[in-house]
Amino acid sequence: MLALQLVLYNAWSIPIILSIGALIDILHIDRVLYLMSASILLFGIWSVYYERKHPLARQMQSSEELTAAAKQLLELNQPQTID
Amino acid sequence: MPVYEHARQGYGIMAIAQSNKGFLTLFKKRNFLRLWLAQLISMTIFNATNYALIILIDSIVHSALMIGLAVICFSVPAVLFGAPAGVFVDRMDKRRVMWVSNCLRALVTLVFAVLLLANRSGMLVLLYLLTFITSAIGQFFTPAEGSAIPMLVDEDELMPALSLFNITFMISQAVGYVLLAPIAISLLPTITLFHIQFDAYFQLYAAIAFLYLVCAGLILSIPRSGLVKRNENKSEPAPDLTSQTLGIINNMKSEMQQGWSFIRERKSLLLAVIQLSFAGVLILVIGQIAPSIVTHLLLLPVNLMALVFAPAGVGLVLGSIILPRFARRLGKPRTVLIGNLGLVLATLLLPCITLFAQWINPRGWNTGPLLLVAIGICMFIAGVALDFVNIPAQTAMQELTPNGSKVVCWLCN
Repeated sequence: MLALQLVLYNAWSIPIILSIGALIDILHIDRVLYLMSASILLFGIWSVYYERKHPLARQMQSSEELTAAAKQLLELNQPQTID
Repeated sequence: MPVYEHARQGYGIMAIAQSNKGFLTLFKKRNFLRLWLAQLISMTIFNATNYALIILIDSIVHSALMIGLAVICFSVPAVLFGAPAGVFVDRMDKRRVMWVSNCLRALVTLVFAVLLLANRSGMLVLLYLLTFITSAIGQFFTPAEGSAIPMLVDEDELMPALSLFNITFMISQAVGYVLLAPIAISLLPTITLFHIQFDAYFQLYAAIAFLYLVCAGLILSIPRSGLVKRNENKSEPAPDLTSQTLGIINNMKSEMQQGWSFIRERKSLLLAVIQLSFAGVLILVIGQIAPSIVTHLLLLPVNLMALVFAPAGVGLVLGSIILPRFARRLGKPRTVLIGNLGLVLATLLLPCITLFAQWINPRGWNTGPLLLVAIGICMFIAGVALDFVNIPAQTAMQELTPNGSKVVCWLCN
């Protein structure tokens, strides 16, 4: 999961870094900082909205569900792992 | 970027702090001391080159886009080569991997330094390429060193040894980014020999190439017999390196697909992954915009960039120590929201403070110590706020992931 998160984060980071660089070159740093501030605020609001829409409790309705999913994933991984 | 990458795992610090009893005993072991010194020097100079590269690119092209490309060049190899390098190193002689990787980095850094003597703006692509190569080679040194540690210490010393490894990782970032590179670039004078000018950047990169060779020497001074795997079972034939590497890559691909479908079905996990990635990207973005903040917003020399980095780094470390107490009381959604609001405040205050300073003192507005203190406080807030997003998201990700509970328990201890 951590590997997937790292891949996603790096995949997102490249276009974001490049576009922020281009924006700084075009608009100047102060405007980009205002834009960043607005973007972070929007992200925060979206996070709260998403969290309320899909509360953690619903995700972990029963520990059995999670355990079963974990077992399933481990079983799927088992034959492909090379020690 | 390694400095940020490790800061993302900030809450390992508590675990580190608990196991610092046996460091002196470890330093008495000569071979371990040599390995540790090689780690300290190589990581410090690697971070120093990353800092120097950002300033160098800014001095050549004054473009945030090009600085962004530099950040990508030294941060992406960790993802591209991290896993295959681990497999490769696992099968190879660790001592050889370590000294060869340091020699190669010395060679590449020396070529980099020589290129700086030519027309720099025409060499940008090569400078990026060499940075990428240096970072990629470094991916082989770190796992080799990690797996060499158990060969040099006793079983009961392993925990403090690994803690020391992590502490050194953080110290090297602080020394490389905040002290070594900024001081060297500021203080090294330009020397003219045979009508060729050797400026601070050339001297720094040449010194770094030499220091990589010192690291290689330190590794070579460890006897080959000292780096032997304990309880090595030679009777079991291992699969060949190529098929093992291909197997790992295929395995990773299928695990990614399974992981993605697993995440998509669990919305809280998806949110945690997005929040964690968001914090990670922001850390990289801070590194990218730091020169622009110093040169374009504050109109100060680019080498004062450490003023931006240092408070943010201190905030990240302190935040990771104090956060668990707050996070338990507040709960994850509120903690993340506070983190986001802190980041909004910090990014909003930076241009506002400069406007205010210009309004109060139109002539010497950027030289007042109060302005620098205020900018430092903003960056400190940004560092702490990043922890408020990062740590709850990482904890949620581990709690909601199969096998994650073990990691969470370790973090709680």
